[in-house]
Amino acid sequence: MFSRSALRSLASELRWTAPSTISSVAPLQQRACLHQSASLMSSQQPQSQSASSHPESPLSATPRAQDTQPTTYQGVRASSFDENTMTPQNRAHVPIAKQPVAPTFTSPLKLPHLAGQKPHYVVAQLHARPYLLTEGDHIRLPFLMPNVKAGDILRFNRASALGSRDFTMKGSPTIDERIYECRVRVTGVDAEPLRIKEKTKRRQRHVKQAKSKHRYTLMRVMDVRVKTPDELLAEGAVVVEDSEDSSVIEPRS
Amino acid sequence: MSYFRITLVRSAIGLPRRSTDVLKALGLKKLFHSVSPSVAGQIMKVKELVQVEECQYRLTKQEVHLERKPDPGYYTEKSCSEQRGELGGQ
Repeated sequence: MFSRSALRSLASELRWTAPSTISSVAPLQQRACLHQSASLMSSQQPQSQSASSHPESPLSATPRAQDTQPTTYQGVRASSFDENTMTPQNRAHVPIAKQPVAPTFTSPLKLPHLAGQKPHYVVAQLHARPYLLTEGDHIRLPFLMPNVKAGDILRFNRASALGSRDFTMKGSPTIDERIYECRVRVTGVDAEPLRIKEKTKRRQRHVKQAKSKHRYTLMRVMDVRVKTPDELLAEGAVVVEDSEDSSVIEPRS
Repeated sequence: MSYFRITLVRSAIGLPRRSTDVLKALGLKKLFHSVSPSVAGQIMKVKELVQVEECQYRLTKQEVHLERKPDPGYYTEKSCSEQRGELGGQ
């Protein structure tokens, strides 16, 4: 029978041996970041093959503003109204101005460490309100979510932070949605007990009763998962060597 | 056709009557003004109170609202009817 401390030391050994082999492969001067655009994919294909030969190299990134889109009103006009008012179904429906900024990494990249250490938590932003979630959580949203039914599977695609016990990845302001998966199943609708507020006016005997009974959406978090660098590369991410000895990952959405 | 997009960023409370009147004349509920010498002069009078951008066309009220509205942060990956269809297919 193992004691708890023995198990913990074993676990920490496992945790640290795997990433250390990864981080010792290449020097740490490389930089990586996730590009927003997928248009460069065809030109970057040969580099992806060269990069896949040593995907274990630690990836790190330069802070990079979202310079792909100039802040003109053209983008706003381009996105039509029905897209904005309805719930977006995938990444293409979200206007570019509202898509998350590419993640920025400092060297050495902690993504292998973070991905290897379960369980993960995510700070998901729903309508710009943060919700701290881990796998198996039951949530009662403070509102009734429109156009969803019990049994629907939702993906949360705006996260301000992503982490495990020892590591945290912070977004500025949100993390790119392609490096994690946060799935949630709608379990039903809850209702608060009926509230009755008596409304009176001066010099009048009549008392009006204002009733309210709000409804709330119930959910359960199915999984919170951080993709490993290998998975990202398998999905079409590309390590791009820049002129200044830096590498850039371009995920394919 | 280009427009000024004028936003009031500081209040005119406690300022001379003149500047309050200029703000009133600009009519900031309107938000978009066509570029003209008279509007430019009015902006110069209250340049400490307003923020001005130049844009190519007037946004509607709804578009201005959508600019400020945060992203919902979720999308429906699989609806329950789709899942039922998959189960029936199996």
